[in-house]
Amino acid sequence: MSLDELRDQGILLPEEEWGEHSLEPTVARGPLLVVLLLAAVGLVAAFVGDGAWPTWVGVGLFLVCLYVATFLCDRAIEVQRERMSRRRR
Amino acid sequence: MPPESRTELSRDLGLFTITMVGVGAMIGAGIFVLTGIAAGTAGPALILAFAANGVVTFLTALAYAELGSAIPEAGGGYLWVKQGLPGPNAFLAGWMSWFAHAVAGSLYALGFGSYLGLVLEELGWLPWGLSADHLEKPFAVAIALAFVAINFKGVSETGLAGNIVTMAKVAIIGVFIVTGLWAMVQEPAKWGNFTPFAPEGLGGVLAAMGLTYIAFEGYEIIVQAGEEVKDPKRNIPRAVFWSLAIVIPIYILVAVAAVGAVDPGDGTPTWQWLGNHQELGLAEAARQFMPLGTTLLLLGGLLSTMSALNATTFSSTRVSFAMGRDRNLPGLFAKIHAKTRTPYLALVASGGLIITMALTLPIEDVAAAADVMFLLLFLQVNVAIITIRKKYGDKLDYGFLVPFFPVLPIVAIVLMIGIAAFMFHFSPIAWYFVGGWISVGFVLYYTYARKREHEKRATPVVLRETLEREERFRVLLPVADPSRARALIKLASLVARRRGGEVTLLHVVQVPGQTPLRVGREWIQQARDEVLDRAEEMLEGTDTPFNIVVRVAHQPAEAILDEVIEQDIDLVVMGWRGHTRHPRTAIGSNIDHVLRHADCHVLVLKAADLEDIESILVPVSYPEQARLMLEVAGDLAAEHDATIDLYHAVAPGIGTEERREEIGELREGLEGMENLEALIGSGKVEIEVDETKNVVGGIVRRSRTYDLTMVGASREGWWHKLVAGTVPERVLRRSTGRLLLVKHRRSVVRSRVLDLIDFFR
Repeated sequence: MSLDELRDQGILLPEEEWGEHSLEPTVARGPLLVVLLLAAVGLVAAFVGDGAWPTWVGVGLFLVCLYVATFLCDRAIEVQRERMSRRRR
Repeated sequence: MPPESRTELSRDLGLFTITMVGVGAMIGAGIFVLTGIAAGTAGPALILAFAANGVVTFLTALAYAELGSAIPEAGGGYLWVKQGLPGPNAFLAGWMSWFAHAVAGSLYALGFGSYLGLVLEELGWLPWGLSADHLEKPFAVAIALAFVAINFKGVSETGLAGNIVTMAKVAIIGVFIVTGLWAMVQEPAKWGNFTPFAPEGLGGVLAAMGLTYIAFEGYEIIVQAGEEVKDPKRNIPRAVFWSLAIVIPIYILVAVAAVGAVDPGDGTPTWQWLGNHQELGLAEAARQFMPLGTTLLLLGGLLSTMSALNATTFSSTRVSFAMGRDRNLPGLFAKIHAKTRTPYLALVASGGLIITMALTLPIEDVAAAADVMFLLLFLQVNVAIITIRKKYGDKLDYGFLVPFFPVLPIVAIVLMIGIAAFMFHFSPIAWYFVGGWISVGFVLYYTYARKREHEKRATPVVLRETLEREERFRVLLPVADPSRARALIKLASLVARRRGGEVTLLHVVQVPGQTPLRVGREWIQQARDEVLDRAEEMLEGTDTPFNIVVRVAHQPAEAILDEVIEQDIDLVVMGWRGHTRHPRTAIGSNIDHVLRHADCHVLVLKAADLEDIESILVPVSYPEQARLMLEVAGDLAAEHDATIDLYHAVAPGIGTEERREEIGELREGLEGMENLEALIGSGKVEIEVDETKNVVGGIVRRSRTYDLTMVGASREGWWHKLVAGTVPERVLRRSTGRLLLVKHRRSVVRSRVLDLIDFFR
């Protein structure tokens, strides 16, 4: 699909805004990395635990990490919208 | 003044509804049908398989969130791959997506067949010595045909019905989880069911991941519905993440409850016991610890499989339709039925594929085939996001950007290749089908699609003539049938002209839920020729500035409300025939919806014409409350040189002095109303005070002798038939003459309260 076709469908930004908006993600990367690593630790603990308490600690840790990651991504969406509208002003 | 013409799509899905769409699409046959089979493969480590699948899915969801917010398209992944990848990849993405959704539909149809068979077996209704196993496939074919028929007619789950089905499924699963965990708390020995945790090792976990991956697909439907989502750049990515955050823990807890709460009684490990019961494992587990367990699980299974089958029939049809429209498949796939406005040939082809796969393979191989195809498909999307970022990076308006780019998409690609490859070990036949389908796709691409890929395709029609916008009174007139619109046009232009305002003629091209809104653009010219040109002719003689708008929507009322919001409309004028087909509406579904939600004044006219109006009846309690009604009455009376009789009902037994006071208060209330001052001065406004308990009867009786009766809409849900019905509603029902209903713009507080009440209805 060409640039013209994307433009016709109203998907592209106006040309004067090309290159004006940052592609840096708005997700807090440090916390997200910690969360992803902890989630992996949780999965390993669940497997290694063989049904004993480390398994359940691992599963619990994984679920907590899931929600923290979701929250971080949700927050990032709001920040991204604010960034776009601030830039346009 | 030349008209301003616009074409718009109508967005009517909010964050909650679109999230529920994703949750509803994910919680389907996957969890009900595959839990038993997967437990038999992985053991208690099924919990780990679900969690790991959650990670893999989350990584792909990041890509969907970014692309879905930047390029919200009805074709979803297929169109992103088309934009991002060269050569046959785009074609293959659509070809594979069609197969994946159709085979998923086969799985859900088979799941339905199994569950229905068990229901009949439990009830003892199976005839001729047949067992549930014998009937699985015939039932699967029957339900698939049923949903093809439903989708052909253009009937789909409404947002509210879809939410109710989703909530019922989640509730049943919730009860399963709670009662299962409670059983484990009551008998701590049951926690021993989880040891050994991974009896089949990591291989078993991987196999279970591959087998149950399909339970995690469904959130991409959020993106497919993108053009109908409100504030899509915010709500699409949010809905993707939150739907996963709801579903993944549910799946994990189901696995915990299923493995932990069951006691096979004969020493068999619970995971093996579940595996032996295959797709009915969950229903059998529920029998042990859940009140009405089997009944509820069977009900949940039936609801889930039907809901998921409907969703996959819908999505597979849309994909093949999109490919037909893009000339990747023969144009027949893009044909829209003239009457139902659904892509009927794409639907028949998808239905045929669903039924063929359901008849050909056992359920676990069907699941494996669908899983492998979805893994390959999502893999392509992760590749596409990398190339799209490179090609169009800073030219797109992103609602979300994937962090650690491109590492996370690459990690997702590697994981998916690993799981898909491992599935060959579990189900070689599934891989043969997948490989065969992809091979056919390659042949089709090089012999047919490639030649047509560059053919010119229709671009959406957009009409726009920009005029300078002025601050003035705006009247919106939705027009469906110009032959009935003459009186409405006259009324709308009168009200606008006397306020120095303008009229906007709005025609809504309505398309069924199965059909992308964009397809509605094909009917723009027809709308122009058959509806708007004629309405325009009627308006041109009135010397009132006017605009012309065409919107495409699944529900006309939503298009009207969108126009009200976007164009700051002050008043909507609508016509009513005098009856409704909808049991839960007082007037009609569209008018009721507009009356309830429009943040502007509304006039609803029940009259074939507005000629020869010499007398107008206006029932009034308090003039300030009826201000708008009196102003419009004044407009009409001035135009037609008519008289206005204000009818004021009071309780019987008031004295002469009190009657005089009532009249005096009414006259005072009329002061300051410019429209009426001249009429009052020339004696054309009379006030009647009537002592009666039967207000409605009084109004209806009098209305027979007047050329027009006006009624003011009260603000508190007067359109609800379940309530006794207010005065305006009863007058509307009983009066046979010309009526004009007037509703004042309502407050934000009241609208929020009514919306909340409406949500729980």
